Amino acid sequence: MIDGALLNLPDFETGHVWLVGAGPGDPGLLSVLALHALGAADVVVYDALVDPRILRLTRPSAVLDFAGKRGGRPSLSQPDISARLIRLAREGSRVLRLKGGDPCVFGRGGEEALALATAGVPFRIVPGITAGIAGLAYAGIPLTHRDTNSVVTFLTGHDSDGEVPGGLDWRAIAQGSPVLVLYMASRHLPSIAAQLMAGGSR
Amino acid sequence: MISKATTAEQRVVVSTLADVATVAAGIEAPSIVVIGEVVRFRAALDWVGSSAGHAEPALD
Repeated sequence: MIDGALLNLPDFETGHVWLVGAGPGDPGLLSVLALHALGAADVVVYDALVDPRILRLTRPSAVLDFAGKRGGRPSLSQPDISARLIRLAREGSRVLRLKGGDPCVFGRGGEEALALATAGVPFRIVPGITAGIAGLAYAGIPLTHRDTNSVVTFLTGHDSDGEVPGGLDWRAIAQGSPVLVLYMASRHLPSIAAQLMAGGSR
Repeated sequence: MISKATTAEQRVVVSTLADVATVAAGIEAPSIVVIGEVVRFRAALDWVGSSAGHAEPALD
C-alpha cells in the first residue's frame, strides 16, 4: 500500500479527470501517481495498449470503459472520447483516462486536455514512461551517450490520416539529429529510410 | 526496431537503413525504431537478452 500522506500525493477528487500514462508495457514501470489514481478511480477509460494486469489494480467497483481500437476499427472517435470524459466528470465521477506510454507524447493527450480545459472540467496530467525512452533502455541502447550524440529527435511515422507526416525536412533531420526515435513507423519505414538516406544518413 | 518494448514479448532486430525494408516486414506492432550510432552500444548493453541467456549477434 502506498503511504499517500508521506509522499504528499494529491487526492483524486470527484468530478476531476486524470490523464494518466500507463507506461510502455511492463507494469512495473507505472508511476506511483498512476497506481494511486488506479486505486481511487470510479471510471477508467483506457486504450488498447494498456496491459490487462494494470486494469486489475482498480477498485472492484470501478467501471472499465474501453476506448481504443479493436480489429483496426476505432470504437470511438477522438471527439467522442473527449465528450465522454466531460460527461463522466460532470456526473461526479473520478475519471481516469489511461493511455499507453505517455499521454502527451504522440498520444493525443493534448487534444483531450484542451477539450477538458474548454469545458471547464478540472484535470491533472500524469506522465508515463514513453516507449521511445523505455524501449531503448530495455534494448540496451542509451538514448544519449557523450561519444555519439547531444541531440535526440522524436518523430511519429503517422499523421492523423495514417500517412507519413507531410512538411518534414528529411535532409535537415538526417543531418541535424544523430539519433532518431520513430513511433508508429513500421508501415512507412521503407519510405522513411529512403528519404533519410537521400538526406545523407547512412 | 523494438517490437512490444518492455513486455515479455519484446523483440529487437538490428539492421542498416538500406536493409530495413526486409526486416520491417517481420516486426509486429506496436514498435519503435531507433536510428543512430547509439544502437551499437546494444552489443555490450543488452541486459534483457543476457538475463534471458540469448544475446543477439551484434551489428557487423
